[in-house]
Amino acid sequence: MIYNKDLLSKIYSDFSILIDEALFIRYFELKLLDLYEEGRLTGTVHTCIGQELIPACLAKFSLEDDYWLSNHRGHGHYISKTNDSYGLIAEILSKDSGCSRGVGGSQHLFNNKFMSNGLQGGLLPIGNGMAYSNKFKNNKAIVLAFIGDGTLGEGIVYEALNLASLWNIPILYVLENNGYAQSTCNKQTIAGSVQKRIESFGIKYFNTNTDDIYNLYETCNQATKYVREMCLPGFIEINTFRLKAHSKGDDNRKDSVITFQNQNDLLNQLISEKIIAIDEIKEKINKITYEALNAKDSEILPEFKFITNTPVDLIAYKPLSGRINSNIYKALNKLMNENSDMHIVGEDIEFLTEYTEKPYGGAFKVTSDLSEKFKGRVKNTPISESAIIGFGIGMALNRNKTVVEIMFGDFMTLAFDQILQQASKISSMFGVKIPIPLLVRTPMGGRRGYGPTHSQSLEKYFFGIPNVLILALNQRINVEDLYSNIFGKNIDMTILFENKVGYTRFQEEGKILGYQYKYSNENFPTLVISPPEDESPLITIVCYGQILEEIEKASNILFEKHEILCEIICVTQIQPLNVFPIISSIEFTKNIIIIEEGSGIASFNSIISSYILENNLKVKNFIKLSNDNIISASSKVENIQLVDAKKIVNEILKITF
Amino acid sequence: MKYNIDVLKLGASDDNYIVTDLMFKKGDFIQSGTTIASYESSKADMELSSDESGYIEYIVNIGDRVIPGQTIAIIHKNKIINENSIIELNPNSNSEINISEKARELIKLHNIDILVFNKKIIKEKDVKEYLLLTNSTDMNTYDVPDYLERKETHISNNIIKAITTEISDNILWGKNIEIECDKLIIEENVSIGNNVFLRGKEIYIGKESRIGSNVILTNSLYEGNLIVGQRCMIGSNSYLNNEKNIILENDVCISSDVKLITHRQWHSPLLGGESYFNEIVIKNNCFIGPGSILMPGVVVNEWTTVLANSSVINNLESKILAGGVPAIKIKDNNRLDSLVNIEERLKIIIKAFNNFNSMLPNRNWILNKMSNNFSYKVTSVSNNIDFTLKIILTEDQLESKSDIYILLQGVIPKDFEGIEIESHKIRINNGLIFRYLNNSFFNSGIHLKSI
Repeated sequence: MIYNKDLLSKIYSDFSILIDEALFIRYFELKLLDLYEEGRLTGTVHTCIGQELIPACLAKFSLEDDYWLSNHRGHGHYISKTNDSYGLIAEILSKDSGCSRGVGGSQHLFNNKFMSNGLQGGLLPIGNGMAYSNKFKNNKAIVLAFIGDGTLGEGIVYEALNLASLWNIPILYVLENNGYAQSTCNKQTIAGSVQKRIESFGIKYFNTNTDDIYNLYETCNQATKYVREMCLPGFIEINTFRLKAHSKGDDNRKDSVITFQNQNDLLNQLISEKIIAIDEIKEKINKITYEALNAKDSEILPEFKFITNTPVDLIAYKPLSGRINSNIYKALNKLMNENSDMHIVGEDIEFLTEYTEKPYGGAFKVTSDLSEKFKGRVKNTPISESAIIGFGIGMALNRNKTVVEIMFGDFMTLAFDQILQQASKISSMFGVKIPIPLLVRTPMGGRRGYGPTHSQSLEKYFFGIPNVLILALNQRINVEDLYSNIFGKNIDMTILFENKVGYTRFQEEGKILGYQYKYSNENFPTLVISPPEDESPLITIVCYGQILEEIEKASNILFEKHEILCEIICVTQIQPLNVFPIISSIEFTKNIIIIEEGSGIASFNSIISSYILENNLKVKNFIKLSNDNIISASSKVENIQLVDAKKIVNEILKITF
Repeated sequence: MKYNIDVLKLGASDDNYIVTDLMFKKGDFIQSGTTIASYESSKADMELSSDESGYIEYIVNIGDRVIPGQTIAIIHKNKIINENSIIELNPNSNSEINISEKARELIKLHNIDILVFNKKIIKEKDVKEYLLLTNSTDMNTYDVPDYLERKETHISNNIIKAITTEISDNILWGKNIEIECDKLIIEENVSIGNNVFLRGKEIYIGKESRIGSNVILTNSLYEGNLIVGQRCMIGSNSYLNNEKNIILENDVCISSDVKLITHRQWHSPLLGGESYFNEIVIKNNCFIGPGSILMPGVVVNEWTTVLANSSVINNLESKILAGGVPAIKIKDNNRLDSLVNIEERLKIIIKAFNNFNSMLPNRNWILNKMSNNFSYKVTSVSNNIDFTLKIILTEDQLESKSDIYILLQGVIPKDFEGIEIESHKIRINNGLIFRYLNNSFFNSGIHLKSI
């Protein structure tokens, strides 16, 4: 829209502060493009030139406690929310004084109540979690989550919308529709009507644009007011135009369109009519740029180590009692009692609901009647693994301890993006360690005839993701202590792999007679099962999780029939892995067999074998046992496929000559 | 008074379920509300709990297929008394002690209280040591060998001291041999070299076996036997210590300078050390390289070859090449599997006879191959006498995977140094042909039967 000079003057007098801020963003980003051309800035810069009014406007209605979640095009959002322009330019120049201390860069900005991530849509369920936590705390704060029109292609967007609507989460989704997903026009990417999509979830839809600043201002006011006061989710679509390229120099749009939009741009008109003074803004930007260019470079090195060799002492085993699933229930019950802000979410975990008649309480009856005991804090979710884990991350970021139950471990892959790209990254990519008190617990394993997609052991796919603690539950571990320690000193996100068969096992049953059971004195102790000191074991058996049951059976057979003794090392904390107990054992036995239920390539055994090679440890026999194929539903075939006591005995007998 | 606990229907899709767990034993007392069983539907596990407290009796087993409405268990209000129940006596049941099967047999046989071991892991070795300790303190049963009964006889100027002797015909005796034992059996066609000294409880030497020169068999316990199977060889300068039995099965070759030791010590037992006595067994068709040492308790399994100067302290599996200090498996003996076709075997046999052919000129004999591959004309250079040597080999022998026996037939005229070949068996071993060439075969060429 082209305004006459009088109208422009009126607009400026009505919105002078807002327009000054937008102008600051514009000249700030133009400076970035200059720096890029001069070769002083590396990486990539996505500018929001032409869209600056949106953040400037929303900031007017945002409170200090509101959380802003942004995307790759987030400089404007950052400046409007935090007013920290120096921190931003220092960050983009990879300086130690940057807002993410030079680790995150342009797309990964962080401030007290601001976070951005370059992956499309991944922050939406996290926003849900944060906003739900706000609602629970009743602090009137809301969450603003920004997406572009390209992000509407991501499934996670709709998982998040569904959950937000179901649970009345006070979150405002802001769609900055600039018409292009990178270089592709949204005519090629969006089918049907955006409004109908949103309204079909029962979410209030607002629409405005950056041409009409009065409408924009009023709609932003309404939308934030609606979300905050009604405590319901809202969605605001703002039509706008990006005047510069997606990144830099990669503009494929029609020149005529760009020229037209430049003429129509409000800020351009204000500048050309000389209604606003830009010298002061330019001077300020030059000053912070100069400061940032001369600041100290970022030298932060990541601290996470996947493997350690830390000496540990072994402590005596204390007899346990009860079944695994009831012990987990007790542990969760205890935690829920101790932490009044703790939540458990998952599929089918509620006991009784207003829509069902008979009790359920989880597919494996672990949560049982917790939803009755802790009303509103144990919740059934839709089948949206990614959104549930994202929700948990958001809750955890807002200091709410959260447990997420994924019904079958096989479904974990559906949430892989949230674990790898969000939880792991958020934890360290902003230059400060951000605690994520989140536990994702899920059962793995076969032997139940559930077939190819409900019987797998997929632990290994989660190895090698930094800042994620991976635990495996076994039959001989104190479940209550384990659960309390997860929310104790540990500050990383935790994945706890349980086992379907394991749930039904009694903790004291099936132990090897005459053997000594010991723990390492760690938070998540490694179990060391060895013959009495006057006997020397022939081989070290290394494992984690429920397969321990088969190994104990095998050890019994080996001794009874063949008088062969073994030392069993059952690891609880797989990542980071302390190899000390394993290495101390193989130094003595010189023989090692590593057993796992999943596939044996690039997996648990590879971690240990590479450690042995790297450190030039002498080993006479190295054996690995695993199942490398898709698990059949036929229990006959499944029994042949999976590692069992008989296979273990046969492998160990091979080395006895 | 009793109550039934029935299977609930879980969903429309399932007609039957599998019982996955029964949490209690028959007769256990349960409180109302306790989970007593779980069963599996198409996707997840379901649990069944009891609404009544009482004594439980299951009427299904784990793994049984059940249908909705079927009774899984009965809750009795009165205690169940089952008169037929028998408490099974299991040495493992009442304690934390683990006993191996072999040890358990011995414990049962000798009726030992398991507490005497004061151990949590009881092996066969522990029981045997215990038995040795208890038996040796019982002086009345100690069996003192009666040397006086060993009568001294002389054969070919050699001294034999034994209570009973069974020595077959056709033994080739060396010089300066002394054998002392309770029972001596030497089968036919055995040869014993010079300066051989053998002492043991029982000595058995099988057919066609050979003992080289300077072989010593000695012990101090007087209870070890020496059993040598058929067609074995013990090389010169070998030292055999038979505190416990030494058993060589058939076709075993021990080369020269080999030591077989059947006891081991680690300080004095009074200083807390242990002594260990155990037999050595070398199974069929094994070869022990020169200079090797075999330690007590070792079993070398069939068809295994031990390299020279190895120290064997662990058992060796069959069909391998092993060696080193201590001896470990180096590789599998793949030749054993590949040498099964007839052509391969025939080639080896022909090569063997060609080698035989090249040996004879050294003994002033000339061997001319006849048109048939297995017939030879033998000529003595010094005496100008010739005769035919015929080798009979049937197809059955070639096809069989076991050892091959070849009959050599030929007649040497009576005036030829007074020696006549009537028939002589030569055996060619499957994978170990070279060993045989150097030992039996070569020797059979000169060791002819005299008239």
